[in-house]
Amino acid sequence: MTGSYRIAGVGGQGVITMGKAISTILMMEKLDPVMSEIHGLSQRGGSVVSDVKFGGARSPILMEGDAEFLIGLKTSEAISNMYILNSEGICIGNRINPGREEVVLDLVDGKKIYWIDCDSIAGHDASGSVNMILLGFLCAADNRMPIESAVDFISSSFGSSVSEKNIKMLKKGYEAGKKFIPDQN
Amino acid sequence: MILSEEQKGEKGKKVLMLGNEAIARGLLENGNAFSATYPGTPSSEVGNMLEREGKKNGTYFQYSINEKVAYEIAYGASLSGLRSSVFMKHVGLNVASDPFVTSVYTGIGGGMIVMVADDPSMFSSQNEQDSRRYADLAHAPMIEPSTPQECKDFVRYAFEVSEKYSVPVLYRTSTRVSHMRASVELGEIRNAVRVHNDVKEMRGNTTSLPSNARRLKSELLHKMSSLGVDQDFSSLNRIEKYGNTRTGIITSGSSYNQVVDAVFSMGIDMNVLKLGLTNPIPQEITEKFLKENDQILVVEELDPYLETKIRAYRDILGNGAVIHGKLDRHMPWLYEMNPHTVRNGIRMMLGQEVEKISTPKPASRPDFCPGCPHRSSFYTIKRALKLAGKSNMVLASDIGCYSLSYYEPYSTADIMLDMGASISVGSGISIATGEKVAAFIGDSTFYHSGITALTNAVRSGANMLVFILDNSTTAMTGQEPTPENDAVVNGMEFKGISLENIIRACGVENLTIANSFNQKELMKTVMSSLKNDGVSVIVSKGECALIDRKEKAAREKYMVVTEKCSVCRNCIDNFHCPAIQQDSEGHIFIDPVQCDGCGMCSDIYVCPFKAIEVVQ
Repeated sequence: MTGSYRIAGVGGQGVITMGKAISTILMMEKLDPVMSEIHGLSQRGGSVVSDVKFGGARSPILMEGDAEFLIGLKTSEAISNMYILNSEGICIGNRINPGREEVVLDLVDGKKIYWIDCDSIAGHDASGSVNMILLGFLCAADNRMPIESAVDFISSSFGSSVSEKNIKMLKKGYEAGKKFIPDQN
Repeated sequence: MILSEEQKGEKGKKVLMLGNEAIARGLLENGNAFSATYPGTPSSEVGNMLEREGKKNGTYFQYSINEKVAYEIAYGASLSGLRSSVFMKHVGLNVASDPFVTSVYTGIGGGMIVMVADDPSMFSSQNEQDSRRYADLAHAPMIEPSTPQECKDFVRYAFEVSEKYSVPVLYRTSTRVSHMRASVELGEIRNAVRVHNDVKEMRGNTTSLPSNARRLKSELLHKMSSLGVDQDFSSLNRIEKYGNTRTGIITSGSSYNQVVDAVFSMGIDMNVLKLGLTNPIPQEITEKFLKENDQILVVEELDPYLETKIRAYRDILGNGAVIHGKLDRHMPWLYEMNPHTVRNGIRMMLGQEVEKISTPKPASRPDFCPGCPHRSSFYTIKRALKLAGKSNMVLASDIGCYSLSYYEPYSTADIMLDMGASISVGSGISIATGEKVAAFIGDSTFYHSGITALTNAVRSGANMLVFILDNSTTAMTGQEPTPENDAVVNGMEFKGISLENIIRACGVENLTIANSFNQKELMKTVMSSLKNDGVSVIVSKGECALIDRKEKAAREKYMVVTEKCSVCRNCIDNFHCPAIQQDSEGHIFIDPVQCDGCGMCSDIYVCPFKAIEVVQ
């Protein structure tokens, strides 16, 4: 089994934390991930991208049409990275949806784009927790990512109060995903 | 030092690690005793991790004032018998190149590793130099890992080569190796190593007078020839065979990962020679590979370093494979390798049609963080220059976050070359044109290379206004301390070294300390300093927004009172804080999550309508 993910956002949104979460979950599943991250200059409010691959890949670099999943923490970054998806790719992007619907599905050339209104799902301004909500949704959309492993990652990576808040947001994203995506087994 | 049971229990555990963290771990597992660095992306996390975890095996660690000093300190520790290491980015090795090149002649005591991280594609650097050239230039052994696991494991060989041949070893990575995360199997941490070495007994080597250097150069060349045929380190290199073919690829570092992925994705047969020792090129395995293949593609980032050596090797050998690479345009000279460029190189070697390569999409440009003191400084300085009719003045910037002032709307950087150059290049322009020039330099960069430049500018009679943007940290690389901070290093307490005293000691008479977050005061200071002749210095002090982030985030936030707002957009167009935005109905608002409560936007100089207030 092989797989690939791109996480795109801007500095301060927790792109690298999300990459580490996905990689750690894949490691728990013995799927041998490799992950890239860009630090330094690009941290200062600029675009931050992290790529994760698993299943024998040596280099984590993704090219146009390579990725199975694109997780866009910011609408504009999701749109500008859409080229990375393969022909059946799935994008999970943060957006303020029309009518504040929690989830809107767009189908474009065989690609599925789930627009997640993170503020609606959280019930308040979700800026600090977009990565956790989208990670939860990803766990619902990708059967290689058990939600229990995501909870384990969070519990072992943050202090108890932050963990509690993050797990709450993770579960909200997961529930929104389970409600919206038909069971795929 | 006695290792705890918990540390012993780490052996065999698999951990997700960054390449740089794996290097630091490798140092702890191989008895490293002394480390120094000046931080620089993409090398910084090695030092960051040793600062946290060096005590696990008793490693002494320090952030030095610059790379040259870091190098010399680590060399001194090595001469004293300690296993030592120093880390820097590629341009940092330019700064440390002076001691590096000669220390390869003199030899060392305890093993010494010089880790240098290149930045192909220039993700956060001013150039794309290939530091492997330094190994050649200095006749220093060089080891290149490809993965986080190798980043850790090859440290052992680097210390062993260093001690066996008594030379510092260049440990070269690139962004994609240093900043790649993967599973690493841990080994056991080993107590810091001190070997017996008497500097007094070595003085015929360590005093690099010409009479000694002539002998040492000859010995060095001999050492490198011996290492080229040394079988003790053969496990650094290997041949991988995919299927049955007489076509091969020679590669190292990050390029190796691209090569294997490309070969798998194309489903072709290929032999791959992966070199971990890239100076000198290991003779036996290279010869064997040249003979076992008819065609060889050399895949490497930046310059044709390996290719030139392999071509020369084949030439001396007189037979063997036909070599392809950058010199015959099979591979690009620019930027990092990716699966497309590697596949195209292979296709060209096999006489197949190449695929069209898409250009990567441009990324959003970085900006000052909300609450950054530089935003306030540059906003005010730009206004002052305009008011004084000096908008045409040449503005020399330097290496650090403040170089982002190049971008609109600040546009307050015309020059940025290397660490400390704002003052020296600026003074050169001032002397050559007779005009006043402004220079902008951060506190850490000033300590690194600005002190000599400032002294020289004063002694040259330059007409300059130098801004030292003092945010109390080395911000861009990860908030490492500067000599100005009070600090505890390895249990010893140090008082910060006064920036003001240093500036005065450089011969500067007109010195003003201003607060970056007090626009009125800063404005007055700039207007008055512009009238001075000679070298004037303004220290604009304001703490980096990333220091004590939690406390800053807890401050009162600001909001726009819509009724008072004239939608003049000055706060967006000229102050340009990412927290201030305009909604689809045209109202200006402040994103409470991004706002860090610095309050600068509520200043009358940013909002003359007083429409920005504290959230009640």
